[in-house]
Amino acid sequence: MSKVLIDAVGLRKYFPIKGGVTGRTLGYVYAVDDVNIKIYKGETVGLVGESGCGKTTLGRVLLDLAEPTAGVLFYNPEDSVSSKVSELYKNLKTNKPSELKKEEKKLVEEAKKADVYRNKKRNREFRKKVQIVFQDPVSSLDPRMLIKDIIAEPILINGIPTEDGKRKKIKGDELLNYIREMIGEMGLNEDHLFRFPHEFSGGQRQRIAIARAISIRPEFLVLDEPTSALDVSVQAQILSLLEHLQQKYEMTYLFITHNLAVIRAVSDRVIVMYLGKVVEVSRTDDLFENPIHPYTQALLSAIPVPDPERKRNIVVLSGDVPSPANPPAGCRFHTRCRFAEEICTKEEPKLEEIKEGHTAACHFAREIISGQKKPAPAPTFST
Amino acid sequence: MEDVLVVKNLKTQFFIYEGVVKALEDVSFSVGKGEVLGIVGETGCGKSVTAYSITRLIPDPPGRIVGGEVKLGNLDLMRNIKDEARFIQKKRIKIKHNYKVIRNNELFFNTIRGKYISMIFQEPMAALNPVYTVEDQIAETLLLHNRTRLLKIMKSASNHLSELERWKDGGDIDIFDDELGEEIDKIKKTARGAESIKFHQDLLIEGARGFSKKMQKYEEMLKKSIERDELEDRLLTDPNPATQQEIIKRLAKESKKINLIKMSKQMKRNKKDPLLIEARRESFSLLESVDIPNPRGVLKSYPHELSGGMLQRVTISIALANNPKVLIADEPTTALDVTVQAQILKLLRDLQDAIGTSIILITHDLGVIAETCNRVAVMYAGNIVEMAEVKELFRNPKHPYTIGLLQSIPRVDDPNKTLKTIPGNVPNLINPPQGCRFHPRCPFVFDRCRVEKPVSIEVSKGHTVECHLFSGKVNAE
Ligand SMILES: Nc1ncnc2c1ncn2[C@@H]1O[C@H](COP(=O)(O)OP(=O)(O)O)[C@@H](O)[C@H]1O
Ligand SMILES: Nc1ncnc2c1ncn2[C@@H]1O[C@H](COP(=O)(O)OP(=O)(O)O)[C@@H](O)[C@H]1O
Ligand code: SF4
Ligand code: SF4
Ligand SMILES: [Mg+2]
Ligand SMILES: [Mg+2]
Repeated sequence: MSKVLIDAVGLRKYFPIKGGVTGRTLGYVYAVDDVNIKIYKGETVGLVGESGCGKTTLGRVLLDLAEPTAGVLFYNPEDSVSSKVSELYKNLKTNKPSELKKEEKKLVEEAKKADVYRNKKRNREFRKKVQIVFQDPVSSLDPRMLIKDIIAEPILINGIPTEDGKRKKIKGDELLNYIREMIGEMGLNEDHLFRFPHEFSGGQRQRIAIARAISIRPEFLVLDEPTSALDVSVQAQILSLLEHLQQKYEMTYLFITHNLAVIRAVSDRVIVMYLGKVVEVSRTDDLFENPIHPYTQALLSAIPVPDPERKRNIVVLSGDVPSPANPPAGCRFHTRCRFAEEICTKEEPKLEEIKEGHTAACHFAREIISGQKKPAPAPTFST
Repeated sequence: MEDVLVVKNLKTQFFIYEGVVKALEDVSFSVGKGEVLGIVGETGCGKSVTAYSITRLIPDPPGRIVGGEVKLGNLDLMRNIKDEARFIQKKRIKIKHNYKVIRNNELFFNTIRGKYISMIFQEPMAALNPVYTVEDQIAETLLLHNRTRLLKIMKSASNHLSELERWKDGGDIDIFDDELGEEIDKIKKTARGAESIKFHQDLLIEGARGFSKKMQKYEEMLKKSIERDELEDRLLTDPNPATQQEIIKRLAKESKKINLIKMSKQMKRNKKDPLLIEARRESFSLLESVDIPNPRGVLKSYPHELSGGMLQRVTISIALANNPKVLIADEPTTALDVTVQAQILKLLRDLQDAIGTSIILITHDLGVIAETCNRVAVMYAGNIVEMAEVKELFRNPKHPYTIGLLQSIPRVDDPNKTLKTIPGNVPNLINPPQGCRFHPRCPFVFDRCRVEKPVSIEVSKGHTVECHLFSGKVNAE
């Protein structure tokens, strides 16, 4: 496998809930809660889950667009530091330096130097190499700016990479030529540059947003529901554009969407989230063909398939997703799980490798895939 | 199959500052009894405008239905529009007087539509009033459109009070051959747990007592209500326009006298009213039938206190409260997550099985179409370009737009599918393309397409296409 590009350890993002006249903190929304993920160079990782499960928050925290409540982030980590440090952080029970062993202290020091969140220099470097594209191309583009200025903005701040791996600032004609070249590649034309965002259709606006994001030649691009607001025919156009750009510029994608068919079409690996937790990570084909986690199973079974002759069994989950401000104890899925037992209400399952390249967080993962554990009868229906 | 709703040459436009939006060019289709008809197409194709035109929810101004026919049984729901056009043309001078006639007509038609056609929306909040509880809103619909049924149940309950009391004390109850009997069967089947059954029993008994106390008043009310129902039903079945006109006049007079809205408000003040008690019980029962956990809690909630999936269930239960002939669902699951979507679609199918309402399901998701519909209409830029049985459409798509749509959707069950794209976008309908509106995006376009609008051609039984490739003069490769 290729090199690790991003190693995030123990990421947490809690949003305080304020209330009363005094604005006291009444509690927290546990939007992202102890997430550990690795993303490898050149791959497309799909991030799925239902609305409110923390996908956008995780994407933003990964790019340091939102300050994490806890966690460390290594970008392009040297192997030696990364694996040892992330092991340490995963197992770290305490944050108090006084309680750490000597060896651990050393590692923590090393981690601080490598951590994108804490090390200013690394943070500056990092920001030049990552970008994000949002779902809503209407609100993500400044309505008062010409397209050319929208695309130029990040270049003026960050410059573009040169052959020798440094970056240079460009302006004037050089900048305009650079943008012209790019816009052709996006399937737009030159006179589009001198118009305003509202003059474009949704699909075209998304092309502009992508042009803006990749104008500084990022290595890592987070795509947050980039096609969810578009029609299918336009979605297909954008997906093929993204694929072309990824190959040409060797980018790594984190592709966030709630559309599982899109995930299957674009990603190499998939991360499934439920209520702020990662519940399953796997290579794409394996996830779709042999889902392990009961939540993933229910999610996959619910996708309508555009083939009236295909009969499927749909597992209908009961009730709603609980509130992330008050997540169930133990396994967060236990209130809706057909396999739940006593232990699920008390103990949180760890994310474990169940088979090669396929991890899941479920106490009964092995029993479920071997067929030893049968689900409680629940409403299912066939189409 | 018997057609419940027939739409012919429907044409709707919006007159806005920039020009005339020709939203529906020429839309015709029919819905059979107990059928689920899907309408699919991309944003801006005119799916919602079709639904709003049928239910006459098009905002006027700027919108106007400029032509066409929507027939519910034998009644043309667009008829007063034609009256209006006639008035305006012929009697310009008397327009002020006639405006009143039109308004009355309009009110009356709204009642008819509300009773026979229900609608649910993508945003459930659009169908709900934020300042009333869920219970108030369901009860109101019931009181407006299902009064006869409520009264019949109460009447029968008052006749069978002793049996009901015995049932409550733990004995069994025999099935009566009337509305109450059906209701008790339903309670036995759908009620969740003893507590729920007790709730039903208590309200039935309380209502029955109220009914017996003022027997005469309610009997009278029931008689009137039945008469009205019969008239309304005759409106749909009577083929003679002159008789229809007679009935409309009579009903319009009546509705002024009754003023149902005022009445239901009065009754809300009187909590002991048996009609209201029965409406409450029925609301509870409806929520149970749409699988809402904790129905009593939900009844007392305001819309903003509920999740999207829960709200959509509530609007479905309100839509069904009328026992409509046609239910129009405009993207009912688009704003919901897939697992909730699965719950809602299952619910719609179950209900359709149980009560046999015809459903028009509007969506842009071909997966939803494949799994829920019997027949499909594909819309593009204000026209239905293809229509067929669901299996036939997916197996044998003919129209280049349908083919393009099917080729552009990613599929979970086929990861290696290469996605083809349809170039360009849905056109602006102020200046829609001439001839075939799809021609600027069509890979098969030829000269004729640019000048002549294709007509609907039946390529095989029940499968129609609007495309020159199939008009016989030019052969498809
Ligand atoms: N800025 C914020 N302040 C408070 N709560 C937030 C904020 N952003 C997101 N949340 C909450 O965090 C949870 C996760 O949200 P989000 O990451 O947007 O989910 P997703 O993208 O998966 O739909 C939600 O419950 C949401 O309400
Ligand atoms: N209130 C309105 N004013 C002007 N144009 C409208 C209005 N409502 C709908 N339209 C136009 O009618 C066409 C069809 O819209 P709609 O039925 O909402 O599409 P769909 O539901 O298929 O996405 C679009 O071109 C839209 O712009
Ligand atoms: S841990 Fe228990 S509740 Fe959670 S998914 Fe596994 S079986 Fe279900
Ligand atoms: S009529 Fe012509 S342009 Fe229209 S869909 Fe058929 S071939 Fe294409
Ligand atoms: Mg999001
Ligand atoms: Mg619509």
